[in-house]
This record gives sequence, structure tokens and C-alpha cells, in this order.
Amino acid sequence: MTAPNCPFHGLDSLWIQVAGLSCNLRCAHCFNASGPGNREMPALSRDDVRTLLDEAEAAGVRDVVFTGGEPFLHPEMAEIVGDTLGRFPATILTNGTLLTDRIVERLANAARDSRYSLEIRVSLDASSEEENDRIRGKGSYGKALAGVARLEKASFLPIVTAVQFGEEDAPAALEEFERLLSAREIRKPRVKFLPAFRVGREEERSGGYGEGDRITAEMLELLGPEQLLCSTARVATSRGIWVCPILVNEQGGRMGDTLEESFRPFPLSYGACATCFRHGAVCANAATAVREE
Amino acid sequence: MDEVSGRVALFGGVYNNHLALAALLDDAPSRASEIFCLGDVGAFGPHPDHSVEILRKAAISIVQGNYDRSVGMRRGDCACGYTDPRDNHFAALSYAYTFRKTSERNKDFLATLPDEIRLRGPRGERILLCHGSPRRQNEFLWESLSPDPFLARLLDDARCDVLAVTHTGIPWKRRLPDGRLVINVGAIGRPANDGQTHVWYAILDLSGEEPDASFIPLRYDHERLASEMRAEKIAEPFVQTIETGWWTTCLEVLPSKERACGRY
Ligand code: SF4
Ligand code: SF4
Repeated sequence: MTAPNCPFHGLDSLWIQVAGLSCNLRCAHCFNASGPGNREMPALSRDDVRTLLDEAEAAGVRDVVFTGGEPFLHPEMAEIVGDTLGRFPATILTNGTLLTDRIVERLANAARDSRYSLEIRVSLDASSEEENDRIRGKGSYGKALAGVARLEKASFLPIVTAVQFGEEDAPAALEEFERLLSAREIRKPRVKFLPAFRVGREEERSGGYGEGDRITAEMLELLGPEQLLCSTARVATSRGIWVCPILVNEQGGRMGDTLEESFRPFPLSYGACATCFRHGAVCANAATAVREE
Repeated sequence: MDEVSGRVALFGGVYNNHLALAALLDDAPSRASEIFCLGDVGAFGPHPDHSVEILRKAAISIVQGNYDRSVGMRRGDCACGYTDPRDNHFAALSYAYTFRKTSERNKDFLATLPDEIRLRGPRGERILLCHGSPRRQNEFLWESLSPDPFLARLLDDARCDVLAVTHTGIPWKRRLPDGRLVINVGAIGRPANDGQTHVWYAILDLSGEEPDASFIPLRYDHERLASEMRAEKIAEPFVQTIETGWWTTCLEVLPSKERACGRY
């Protein structure tokens, strides 16, 4: 069976693996196996990012997403965010544990000076400390929530993102998170659930994908490829341009040295692609999770 | 392709607000020679057939919105593009109401509306009217998520010099460095999440050196609308938005800049 191609519709989102795969945490489910001492992908310099922004501008990009690893391990992250917000809306995916008053203040200044939105997503995997820290490491819960509180104080509207592992009761989980955040005086709590990708460290935990976990041409037709991240996004790393943030450890996910080279269709031959098909790769909440008033 | 000149009134997002629609048809003719609707006739307001009948009677040209398409095609949901469970919950309530209360004849009418309307300005400007974006009926074009190069790409791909959209409910305009113009005309169905009870529409002015746009605040009897909504047993958060000018639903799609301006 040959994998169907995902067409490329143009660069809406440029993801930037700004701090490489280096992270201060070592979460059990990390899909790109980031962690302390992971040097597989060195960080990008501020100049590298500027060059990328130029290329992205020429492609008519809509927004920039910073991911990792942990972006705030980058010594010049605040400056890089400032450079970006001068030109485009931006989103930062962070574990929230390194958000000091100083860095939050600098982000707030950059956001205030820009006509574009800065979204900050803080990952937390459970509304209880015990469960969260079992997945994300001891102490991560308290530090992440302190980061969320600092963002709130600086008038950001942080989005808390949680990976959903099984068929948990989504509405109940959502309510739990909202209760937790409201209790911490987060005025406009925003929570998003993400699917677990069985790659990276999660592969060791859950055994990865089977032969049957693949997208077929019929499935792709049903979904419409525009629902997949890889139809409108690319990821820039210090090792070149990759098709999507989920496949940065797969040699086959590498699309070339420059953005321009990466603007072509991609064969959806990975198990992770089946997760995208089922759940949406970006951050859609379970559509079934309807909450009664 | 129709030629237009002078001033053109553009509005969208009626959301069954037949009182604002009637107010618009009173107000706009004194300001503009032609009037166009950018779609989404139905939603959470009362008596959907009233709005469709007013538009039909006035013979207003209408671009099809995602809502109009869903109702017209007898689909199961509004295809608003929400990803949040709470937003989807309220969207489902208002869609079910509009669907149930729109006559078969009016559903057929909504199904026939065009995806886009193309006009030509006095200097040959290519003007495109659509609902969400030129590439997707339900794409949200927010001011804080629409950098110039991205808008330029949309305009290039759609081959137009002036683009007018609605769908998000908050008006804004942008002149691109090359002079092309993008307008989000806002919505006349609900206030713009600014604590004011009036709604907005836009005037595209083609009489000057280059096309420009301005936004017109539109007052209507919002208290009467609120009482009609209550009489129809429409969910209370929708009524509160009409009464207070603050959005209570469909909030998760708001980018942080726009959301920070609202109360919820
Ligand atoms: S999931 Fe995020 S915070 Fe956790 S190890 Fe991976 S990159 Fe770091
Ligand atoms: S993992 Fe998802 S985003 Fe990446 S190539 Fe496969 S379908 Fe596309």
C-alpha cells in the first residue's frame, strides 16, 4: 500500500524549534524525546531566526510558533519574540517552569508594542499535582502554575494544554482544569487537549504504532488534507526544514535545507499521521466534549 | 462583473437580528448607492424567516456564509469552525433553532447564494466580497492574526485589490504597503465585544484617489430584540450579549489581543 500524499497549500504557520531538543524536563510522553542534555539539534541563533522570518515573509506566512524542547532555555528568547512580533503573530509552547518575572515582563512589553497577538501555551498534563508530576517530573506542577499566574498578572491569557492519553471523560477533565485555574484567579481560563503521539519517549511507554495505523487515500479524502498541519506548516530546525513538529526525529521527515525546498507534498507514511487523522494535529478539543450550562 | 462607484455599503453577520437589518436598510441608502450582504443570515437571534424575507424583499445581493450554506444544504451543523466544546455547545443550540425555524423555501434560497461576489471599481479595482476568506468560507480573519504578507498572499491568490470579509464579528481595516485594502466589515447581528450595544457595518468609498473604508455604528432597538429572544426561549447568554455588548459565547476562537478587550 502506498501512502497518500499530503499536498502543500502554502505556509500558514512556521514552527521554529528554537532551542533544539534541549529541555529542563523529561516528560514521559515527550514525542520528540527532548530532555536535559539532548544535543541532537543545537539551538538556532537570533540571526538564524531573523533569516527564517525573512524567508517566511516572502512566503506570506500567517504566524510563527516557537517550540522545542523548551524555548525559554534559549538565552535570547525574549529578543527573538520581540523580533517576531514586530512582523507576525506568534505562539510559544512552553512547559512554564522557566517563566520568571523578568522574562514575563519582557514578553508583555513585546506583546504590548505589537499589533499582533502573542499566545502562550503552558503544558500541564493533569489537574492534580501527583498525577502531573508523575508524567512531567517532580516539582513541575508547582512551577508551571506559578508561571501561569505570572502570565495572568501580566495580562496574558495563557492557554493550558494537556495531553490526553486514553478515552478519558473530556468534559469532566475540562471542568477539573477550569476549576483549578479559577481557584488560582485565572480570570479567563483557556484549556486545550492534545492527542498523545506514540513516538519519541511515548513510543517506549505505549509500544508505538502498528502496521494498521496508517492513513489511506480514502481516509485522507474523507478528512480533507487541509485539516492536517503538514498541508500548511513547516518546522525550521538547526538541522534543516522538517515536515511537521511530530516527525523531527524521523530522517524521512526532513524536507530540505531551506523553506523554499520544503514546499512540496509529503507522503503520509507514518503511524503518527494516523493520530493526526483521528484527533487533528494542532490542538482541537474533542468535538464531542459538550458541556451543559 | 458589476461596476460600482461612489460609496458602497457592506454588512455581514445578520444572525437573525431583523431589527438591526431593518435599521441598516433605513440608514445605508442615505450613505451609499449600493448595498451588499456578506453572509450569515441566521444564528442565535429570533425568527430567522424575518431576516431572510427582508433581504429577499429588498433584493440585496448576498454572499453565502457558512451558516447559510449549512442551513441551505440541510447540514447537521453550522460549520463555524470552532474547536472548543463550550463554543460548539452554544453554536449547536443556535443552529438547531435557526434550522428548525427557517422555512423550506428560505432554505432553498440560502442554498443558491454565491460563494463570492466580484465587482469592478471606477479605476478598474478588482473588488472581492466573500464571507470568511477568499479560500475558505469559515476562515477567521482577525486583525491581530493577519500580518500584511499573509493578507497580500490571500489577495494575490484571489486576484483582487480590495477584499471585504465578515465572519469574525469585529470590524477592522488594513491598507497593505502596496496600497491594496482589506476590510472586515464586522457584524450587524451582535455587538463587537466592546461593551456597546450598537453594531457595525462598513462603507467602501470609491470616490477618492484610492479605495478607502469607514465603519458606521448602527443603533437599533436592542431591548426589543432581547425581549423577542427571551420570548423564543433562546439561551440566556446570547440575550446578555445583546443587552450588554460583551460576548458570552464563541470566545475561544478570539486571539488573545481581541479577547483581552472583552469582559469574558
Ligand atoms: S513534553 Fe515539553 S516539557 Fe516535556 S520534555 Fe518534551 S519538550 Fe520538555
Ligand atoms: S504526523 Fe501529522 S502533521 Fe506530521 S506529516 Fe503526519 S499527518 Fe502530517
